[in-house]
Amino acid sequence: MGEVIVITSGKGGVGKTTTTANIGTGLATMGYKVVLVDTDIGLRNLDVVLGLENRIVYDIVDVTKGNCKLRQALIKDKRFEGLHLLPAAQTKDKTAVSPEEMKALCAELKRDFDYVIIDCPAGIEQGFKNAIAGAEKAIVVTTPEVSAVRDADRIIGLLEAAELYQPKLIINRLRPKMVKRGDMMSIEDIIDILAVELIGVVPEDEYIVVSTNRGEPAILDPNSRAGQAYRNIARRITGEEVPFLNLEEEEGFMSKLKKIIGLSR
Amino acid sequence: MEGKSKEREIVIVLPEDGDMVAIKDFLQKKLEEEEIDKNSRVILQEKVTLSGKEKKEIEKFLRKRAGLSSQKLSWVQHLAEEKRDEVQPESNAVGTVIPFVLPAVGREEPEKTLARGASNFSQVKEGSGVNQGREQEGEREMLPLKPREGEGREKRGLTPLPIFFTSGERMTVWGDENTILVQRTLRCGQSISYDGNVVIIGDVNPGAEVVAGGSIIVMGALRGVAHAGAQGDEKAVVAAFRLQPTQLRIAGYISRSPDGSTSTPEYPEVARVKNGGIVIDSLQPSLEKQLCAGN
Ligand SMILES: Nc1ncnc2c1ncn2[C@@H]1O[C@H](COP(=O)(O)OP(=O)(O)O)[C@@H](O)[C@H]1O
Ligand SMILES: [Mg+2]
Repeated sequence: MGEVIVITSGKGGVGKTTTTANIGTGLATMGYKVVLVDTDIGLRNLDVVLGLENRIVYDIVDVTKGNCKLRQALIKDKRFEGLHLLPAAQTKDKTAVSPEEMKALCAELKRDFDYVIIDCPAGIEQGFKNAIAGAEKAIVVTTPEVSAVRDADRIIGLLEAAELYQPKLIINRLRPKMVKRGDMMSIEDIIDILAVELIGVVPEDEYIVVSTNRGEPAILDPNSRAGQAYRNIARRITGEEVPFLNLEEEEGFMSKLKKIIGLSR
Repeated sequence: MEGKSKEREIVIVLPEDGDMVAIKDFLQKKLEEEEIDKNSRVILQEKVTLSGKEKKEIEKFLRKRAGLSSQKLSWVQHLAEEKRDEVQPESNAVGTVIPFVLPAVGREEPEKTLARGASNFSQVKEGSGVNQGREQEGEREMLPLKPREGEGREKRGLTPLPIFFTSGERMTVWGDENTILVQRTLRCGQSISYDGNVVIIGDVNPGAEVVAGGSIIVMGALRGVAHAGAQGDEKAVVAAFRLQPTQLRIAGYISRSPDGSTSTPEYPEVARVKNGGIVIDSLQPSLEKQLCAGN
């Protein structure tokens, strides 16, 4: 039996899709059987980030409506044997899928895959409710901006209301230099408000844009710092204890981080 | 220690109607039933307001019949059941929703930002002569137990609760039974509304809201919106370990946090209505003193 993890944020454009693609690829490189589910119906792009757009025949709505078998809609990744994608529908409405259908779908996927990772749409309406319906765990993505953190807080409250407790937190697009100047929220500031466990900090990285455009997740590039952060997150998801990246190349920062996440070392 | 007999406290609710004769009959019966003697302490609750003269007469009657000194007697207004219902139609259930209405009188637009700083702080700490004098005279509800008239504590639903010292002394605090304890953090988009006091063990995050008929105490950081005394009680206070609210409302007063990022103190603070505005004081010197002052 696998694990169903939803990647969510409230705010759009903070990196849910990037995170889903990278973590999924990371877990697949470690030998796990992974399926990524795009629930952003009408605004799908997980397929593009993975470079699989040209392979789509059936989508998630076709599966829930019984137009095809689940097996037919799953797209195999071009690089990794264990990685699969269940694409969102581009032309249909968000209400085309119900939370009950999502629950049934997740239960079915869980039987065949080690990890079912759900890319959640922005917002808190139907699309969000669908995405979390079948999830057992949640990862909340935020950027170091007040508005994104506010939305993340809201989402954590809604997750709790849906009995998805203790979500993990990813802080994306952190710029240590800006934090140092006091121009960006620090990791401490964010944890102070959200009070959830940090599972990773991903630095701002130009390579993300390059990799997105190429349809090759950054995690595959050994030189990408964001990719390195995502590799660590993937390992932490499997239960491994991985020390946090030293984003600032400066003494003292690591110890601070360890204090925040409670890593004793 | 040997000869010290145990003091008993008896609460007697006086009958609603009846003249002096009927009341005395009623009291005589109670005296016998409850075996009240000079060592008893009696709290009399009046359902209808008695005149000073009538009260004197009753006190005299008890002194004569049971040897009770007036020191051992106290008067309390009995809050009628219907009165409570009026305020709170849905019983004491947690999360009772109360209408979010600000009284029109004395209402201030959130133009006033929260006053915090040396001037306010010292003003309060040093206090006017009146404040200091009060304390020295020992008017802090030490014995004898006598509710101050005209302060309306009973009307606000407060109940006198005795505090016993191991040394044998006793003092009275005014307690409010209508309080809920919320053991969680309120996140963005969540709100709690209760007709009574609200104590939160956790934070109130930006975008969250607490509305209380009485006071609000946050054992954490208050970063969202808090409205105490939502039905017009200007004596209500808002206290928090870290008072960093987006907006504070007490009764009809509204104040907001100053624009831009300002540093807030790293100690507990309390906000209350003072001189026609919401003022923030440190809660550190004496938590108890300040909360009492709020009553
Ligand atoms: N760590 C990062 N560094 C630089 N750009 C990033 C990073 N994470 C995400 N982005 C960019 O931000 C944009 C939004 O990311 P996306 O994953 O689509 O967000 P969401 O799915 O939450 O809407 C994309 O253009 C992506 O390339
Ligand atoms: Mg997306």
